[in-house]
Amino acid sequence: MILLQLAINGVLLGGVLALSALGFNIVFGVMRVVNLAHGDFVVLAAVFAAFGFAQFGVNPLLLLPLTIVAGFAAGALIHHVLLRRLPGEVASAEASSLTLTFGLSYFLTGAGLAAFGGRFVSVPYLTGAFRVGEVSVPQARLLAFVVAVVLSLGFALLLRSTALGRAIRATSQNLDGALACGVDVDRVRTLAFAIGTAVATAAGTLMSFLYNLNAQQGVLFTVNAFAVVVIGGLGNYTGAVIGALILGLTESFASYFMGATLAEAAPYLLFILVLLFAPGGLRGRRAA
Amino acid sequence: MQRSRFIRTVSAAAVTPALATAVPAQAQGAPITIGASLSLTGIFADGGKYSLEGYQLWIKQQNAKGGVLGRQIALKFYDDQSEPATGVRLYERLINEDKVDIIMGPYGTAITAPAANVAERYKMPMICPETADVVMFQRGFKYIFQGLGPVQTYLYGVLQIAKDHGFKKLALIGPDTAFSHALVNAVPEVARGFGQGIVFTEFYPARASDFASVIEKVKAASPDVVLAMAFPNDAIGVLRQLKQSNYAPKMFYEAVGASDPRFVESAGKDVNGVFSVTAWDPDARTPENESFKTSYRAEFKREPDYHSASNYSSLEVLAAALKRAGSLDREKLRDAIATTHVKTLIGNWRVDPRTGIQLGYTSYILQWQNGKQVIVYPGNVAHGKPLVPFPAWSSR
Repeated sequence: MILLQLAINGVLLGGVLALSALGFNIVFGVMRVVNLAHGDFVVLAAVFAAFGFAQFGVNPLLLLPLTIVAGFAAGALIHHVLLRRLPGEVASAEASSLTLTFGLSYFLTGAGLAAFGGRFVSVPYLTGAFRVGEVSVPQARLLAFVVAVVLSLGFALLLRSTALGRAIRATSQNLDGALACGVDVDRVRTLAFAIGTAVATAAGTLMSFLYNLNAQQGVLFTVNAFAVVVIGGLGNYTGAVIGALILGLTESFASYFMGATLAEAAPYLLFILVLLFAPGGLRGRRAA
Repeated sequence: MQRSRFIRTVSAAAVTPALATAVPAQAQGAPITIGASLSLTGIFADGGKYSLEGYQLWIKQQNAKGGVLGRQIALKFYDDQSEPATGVRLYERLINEDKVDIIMGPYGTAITAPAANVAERYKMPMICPETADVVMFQRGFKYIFQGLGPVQTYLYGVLQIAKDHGFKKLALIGPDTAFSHALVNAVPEVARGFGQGIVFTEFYPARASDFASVIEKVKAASPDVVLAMAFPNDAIGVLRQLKQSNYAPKMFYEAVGASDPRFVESAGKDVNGVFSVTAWDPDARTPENESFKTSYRAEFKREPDYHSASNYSSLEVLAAALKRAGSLDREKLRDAIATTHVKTLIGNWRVDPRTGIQLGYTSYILQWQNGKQVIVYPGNVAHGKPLVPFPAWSSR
């Protein structure tokens, strides 16, 4: 029974990790931008939800549409004002976008601390669990898991079978080719960053039910997202869900059998193994 | 991981210009500068902020009364970001570059322990209002003084309640921090006196966010009492995942993790039944207590917590010692602190003059009942009876 419970805990934790990594993966997949400010969007939304709940008693799920719109708008604006102005060639754009999002991360942390203070906050919502026989299924984690799977599949479907999806894939595969075919590359990239940010802020709202956070904790989500996405395959959306599940299960079982402090190293060990033996990620593209 | 550096310094005198002009004529010369490093960001930010406010409130009030030794008092503080190494550097800086007259302790055992080395090296007396650990005072140091009840007082009450109900098996969990280790290390001696045994001990990383597996292991050990030596940032997660695994031990204690009056904002209804510990009884009906709470609310727009009270009290001790020493001379001040007996907001200050370990202060056991904190131990100041056992999750 304990093994089943650990497996359920691990799968649900995987869902949480997948959800918190999805926005990061979208931005990387389409734009080849490693968004170091990703986790800051997640925690800002979480802290905002907790603030709204504590001050005004707003149900955070009601805040969700507002958070998504705000995330989308902020993402579009940041791309339009900042990222778009970086040098065009891919190689230098990767380096300079790294620096830019690093700076953005600092800015968001500082802004979050100034707006909400350093207190750790959380929303006491959906804190219970469903009981199935002897086994517990925590409600908030189940919700995060379902949302992660739906959004990941949804985004994969969008890529495969819509005109926008084709434009996005074309942009990510070959910028010049896409341009030559009349794809509005700038619009596609703006959309991708906006969608990535909106997904991050939506995830953050759900994270406020799970974790006690302050504006400085963004780096945890960025690092998690990075681990999930590298293990699953950068820019591969179903692969990221699988990567997240592997990480979640590893953490759950390793904490139980090896002890919590030692288990902290397990995801990184996995990370190194994947980089050594499957450098494209478990479901990543083979190196071109 | 270190992020933005928010180093701020504020002169308390500058914050209150209206008061500065109203000061009696005997306040002359440059202000006495007190230096401290506090955790205003990072994992200890919640408690660190309360600590700072305790210092600030006392200084503001004392300056209005004419300061100490006829001089105003200014506070110079930095944010150590909850990092011990940064704390050490900041105390070096306060002493060597800012040339403060007096240093006061930082927040938390993790930073106080290394900061104590700095105080000792420069022979600067330092009252430490934020550490219950006793080990750091057993190193033969002369210049540090404990401003909280020692770590045994954090455990005695809750284990006494457990004994009253015949509970014998204890499980200990906590973050991998200096304070948590100090508490866990102090359990065996106290528990032995009550005929209790430890059936499980495990630490989790200080920044852990998932406690499901640790809780499954605690459950498997089937203790009567679970003592989580938690801080506010992990106390929520541990409590929530306890509920999610539908596990209700007979007693559940979260040390200082659940003593913040605002804990309920993040914990919600799940808070009921949780035990915690505090160094200050906020409901004690004394004029000092009422006046402290009123001024604190007016100044900071929130309820004080025991960190506020403890830091405030430590400056009361400093003022009493300065009066006895009659000067800022470090040796005289050191001897005065070591031998001063004074009633402060949180109790009767008295330290062992040889080690600096606190002998006068005690701690109080709190329990959350109906969304409110109630002191349930010791009996002579208790405002309610402990609610035992911890209610089953299905019956709430």
